[in-house]
Amino acid sequence: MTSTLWELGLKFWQIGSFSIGGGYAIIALIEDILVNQEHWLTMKEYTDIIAISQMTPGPLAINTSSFVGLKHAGILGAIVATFSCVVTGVVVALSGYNFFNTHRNSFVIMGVLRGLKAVATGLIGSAGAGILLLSLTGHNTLTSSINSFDAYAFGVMVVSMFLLRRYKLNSIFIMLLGACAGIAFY
Amino acid sequence: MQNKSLLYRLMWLFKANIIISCMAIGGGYMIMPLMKKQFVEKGQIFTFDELIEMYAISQSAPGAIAINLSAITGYRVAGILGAILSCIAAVLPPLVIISIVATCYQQLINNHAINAALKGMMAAIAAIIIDVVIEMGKNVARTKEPLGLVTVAVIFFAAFVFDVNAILLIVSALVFYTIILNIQARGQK
Repeated sequence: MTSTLWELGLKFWQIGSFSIGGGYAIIALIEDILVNQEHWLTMKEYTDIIAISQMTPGPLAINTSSFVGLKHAGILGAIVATFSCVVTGVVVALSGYNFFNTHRNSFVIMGVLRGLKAVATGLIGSAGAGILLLSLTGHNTLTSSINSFDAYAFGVMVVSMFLLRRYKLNSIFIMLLGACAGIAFY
Repeated sequence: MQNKSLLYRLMWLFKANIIISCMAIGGGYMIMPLMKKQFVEKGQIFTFDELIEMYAISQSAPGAIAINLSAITGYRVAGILGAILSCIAAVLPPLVIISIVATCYQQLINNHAINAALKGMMAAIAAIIIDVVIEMGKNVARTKEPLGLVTVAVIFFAAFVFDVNAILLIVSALVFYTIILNIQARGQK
């Protein structure tokens, strides 16, 4: 039992420490470690987890660590795997935050932070565009094989956008509205 | 908020992070509009500009951006205890939900109504994220630095159209800005 927990901790620490950039960039890394190296998950299970992650809240890495930890060492395993997965990121992020806070007077360092803010805007923009493309066409990247257009999804998106910009509606409402529209249309 | 007792701030953080975490569907990016709602609009603890700053640091660290951002916002509100508690509150909902779903996920994935609801929700989520990106773009534009807007556009096209890796983009921007700013700083002397 202890050795299983140790193994889980080590592998998920590895996943957490070497995945930068968030989002879907880490899908391949997790697959490589958990499916190909450790055989903790079958490919079928992993694609199922990706599907579940899209319909439940939480980052993919956290969902995967909970699932694998639970499967191999019960609730304690899930806790160990999840903790190991987040610890590096949290320590680095807090150190980074402290670093920028102690250099508020530095022209160069504050300029770099402004640059990172612009990068964040571009990256979230790209993610938003990707999700939009996915819901409109079924593809999440621009490819020549796009040949369908979902007018219902486009309608939901335009109405949501209008409610958000014009009436500043709460995003919980918008999401529920989208879900109801989905059940009604599809 | 900073003049409230530590216990009050910790409880507030716990509640806010549970709410945010329960709603962060569709990848980690929903975290931005959700954090904005709780910390900037409802709690009025810090400005949107400061939140973007924290997000920028979170995305440059390894691991899930959502959890890193929870740690930083928690730290900002209630120190290291706040950071730890926020992280626990952020991972708790997915952990519980996955534990429950793990037993019956086949039915869930193949359920028609759930998939239909999800499809509609995805379009709404796209709108929510684009809405917050517009606000972030305005924030960059407010600095009146053309370089910032150029960066946003270049990163967007590189990531969306050309599918360039996020790490590569972050590191390139770091190197590029460090060089440019050092030259500028030298020119001012």
